[in-house]
Amino acid sequence: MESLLQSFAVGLIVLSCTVFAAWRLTPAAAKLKMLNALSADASHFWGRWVARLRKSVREELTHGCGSCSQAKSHLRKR
Amino acid sequence: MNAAAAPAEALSLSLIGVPNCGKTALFNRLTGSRQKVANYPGVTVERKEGRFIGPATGRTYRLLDLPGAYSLEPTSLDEAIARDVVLGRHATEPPPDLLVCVVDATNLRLNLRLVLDLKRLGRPLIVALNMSDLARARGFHVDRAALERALGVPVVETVAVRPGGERELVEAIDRHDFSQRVGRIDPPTLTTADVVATQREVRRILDEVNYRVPARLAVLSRLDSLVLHPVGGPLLLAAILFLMFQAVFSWAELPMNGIEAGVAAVGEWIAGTLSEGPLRSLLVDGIVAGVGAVLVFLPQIVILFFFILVLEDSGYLPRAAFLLDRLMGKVGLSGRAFIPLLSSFACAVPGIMATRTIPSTRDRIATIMIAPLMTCSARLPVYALLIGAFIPMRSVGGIFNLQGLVLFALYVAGVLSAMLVAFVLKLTVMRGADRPLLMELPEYRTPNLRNLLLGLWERVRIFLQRVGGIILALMVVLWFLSSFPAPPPGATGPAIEYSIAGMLGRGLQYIFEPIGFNWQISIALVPGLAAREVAVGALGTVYSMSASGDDVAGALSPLIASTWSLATALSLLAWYVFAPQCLSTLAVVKRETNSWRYPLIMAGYLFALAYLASFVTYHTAVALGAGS
Repeated sequence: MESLLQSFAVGLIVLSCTVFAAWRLTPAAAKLKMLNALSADASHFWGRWVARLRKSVREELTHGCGSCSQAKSHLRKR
Repeated sequence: MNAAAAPAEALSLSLIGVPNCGKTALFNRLTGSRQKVANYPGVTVERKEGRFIGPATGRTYRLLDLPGAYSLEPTSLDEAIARDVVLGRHATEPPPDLLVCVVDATNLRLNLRLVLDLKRLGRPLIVALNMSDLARARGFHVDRAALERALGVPVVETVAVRPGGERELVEAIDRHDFSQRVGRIDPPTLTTADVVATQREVRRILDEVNYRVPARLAVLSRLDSLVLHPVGGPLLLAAILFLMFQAVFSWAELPMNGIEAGVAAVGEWIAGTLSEGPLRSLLVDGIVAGVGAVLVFLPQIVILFFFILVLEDSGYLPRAAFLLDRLMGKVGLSGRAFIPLLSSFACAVPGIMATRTIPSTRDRIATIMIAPLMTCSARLPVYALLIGAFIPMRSVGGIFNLQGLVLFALYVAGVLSAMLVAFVLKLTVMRGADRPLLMELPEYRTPNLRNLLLGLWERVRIFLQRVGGIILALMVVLWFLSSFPAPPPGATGPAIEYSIAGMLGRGLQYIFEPIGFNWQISIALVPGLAAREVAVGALGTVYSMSASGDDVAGALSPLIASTWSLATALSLLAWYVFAPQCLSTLAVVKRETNSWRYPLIMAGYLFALAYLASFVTYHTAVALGAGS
């Protein structure tokens, strides 16, 4: 039973990390294209989340890169 | 004064001054919110125009805030536009009826040269002595009336940051007789003798008006005779950098040992708490071994940035730029390239973005192409791991630390390679005339402790975010690739040899074997493309997965010291001097150049250089007996 639970937890962690790593390494323009295809209705949690992501990707496009936190610190100083 | 709608016949005023003299603050004070901001046609230089009404005369003035300029001999697009407008030769701007030259009262020596250039044109001119309150507070002696007499043009005091600080200027503009207008003026042709004569005239005027710099600033500025000395200056710079790298190894040992022990304890605790299974393997071999291998280098990064922040806050870094300008000019780089290249020591991405300040396309592309050769902070964990494992911790000459010397040499190798590549570019595809560097050196300051601590905290936060974000995620993915598929029944070797990562590593080994890399290094190079320090974490995970039995995450350094030859370690160090850059760097080059051509050329030439350097290093080391 414990082995099964461990396998389930590992599957979940690996899947989440794969999605996260793929997202971080995707070029900002491609990310924005994907986000633009999604709804950003501010009345839903999902919509607000998409809008927030879209904003941060736009900032990446203007000021920095997806996987480099240097650029993000630069943004905060602005 | 009142802001107002535009009447048909507004008088045209142009606000000109050297960069950072408070010109735009004065423009905002004069025009309030009545501004139109756009670009000059066809270029990305900002054009700001506003209007105001003179309270005494009711006249409407159209005020143009020109780009900052040090002289009428343009060295950039900004300065060329400012000069053309002042001369009345700009295609879309009418000749100004009156020039208002804003000068910084705390730095008259630099500002008066532009005033004299403008006066010679014969166009009506008023000088706004800005920051006059700050100058007095700092102990400068500035005599407005004497300056007005010496210059022969109206001089008024302004404090652009204070409400009402523009009043004297508005009154002077209202008093001005606009009946005489000057049209287009031919560009002045200045010889070196003219420039020298202008400097002499500036000194004469400063003596005449008894302009005195406060004693404290005068002493500090005398430091420049040493710091900027053609021979002593570069030697001092080399000594500072050398000491910095010594400290990176000498001071970091204790905290690094502490982190290493902490990581090992966490690994042991997890191994002791969880029963055998995939989750325990993921946590111990994937996350703790991988992330811990990178985390251990935090103290060295903090020490390196402590020195950089101290040098920056003290006002030394712009002087270093000035010192290196001659060298950079010889290899075809602009002096303006220094700051982007310096930024690249932290990360190439902001460095490449900072090249936007370089006006010449040729200089900008050349700077972008060599920026990845500056040793970014992500390479420090790789260097530190290999140096710590293979270079003995012993002193040289009784005072220097051998490990620090090697690290210094690696940074120097990066800089020299960049200079060499720039020189080749200058000789081949990027020929062109050299451009002079004109820059304003800030005052020396005692570094502010709060700024220093905040800057260091920022670096720590960035590093931890990176470790906890992309590095952790990639370590988990790498653990998965190193664990599956499971070894076939009866397999005798470690499971990783039968996994996807193992197969990938063996495939890549055909490419990297000639330069001494084993299959574990070959695997680590792949996630290292996402960010260079990920290679260290990947080595931690791969070696942890290669260990047999119930071994928990141990320190990576002794492990590679016992399994690699010195030739392999030196080859990997040479590889990372040129390290084909991370994907983020390539993406930002594509974005900044708006072309795939430059990122592809960059990736190609860096890979070729890295392979060649590693090949030569490895085979030379093997020939010298370091191959086993």
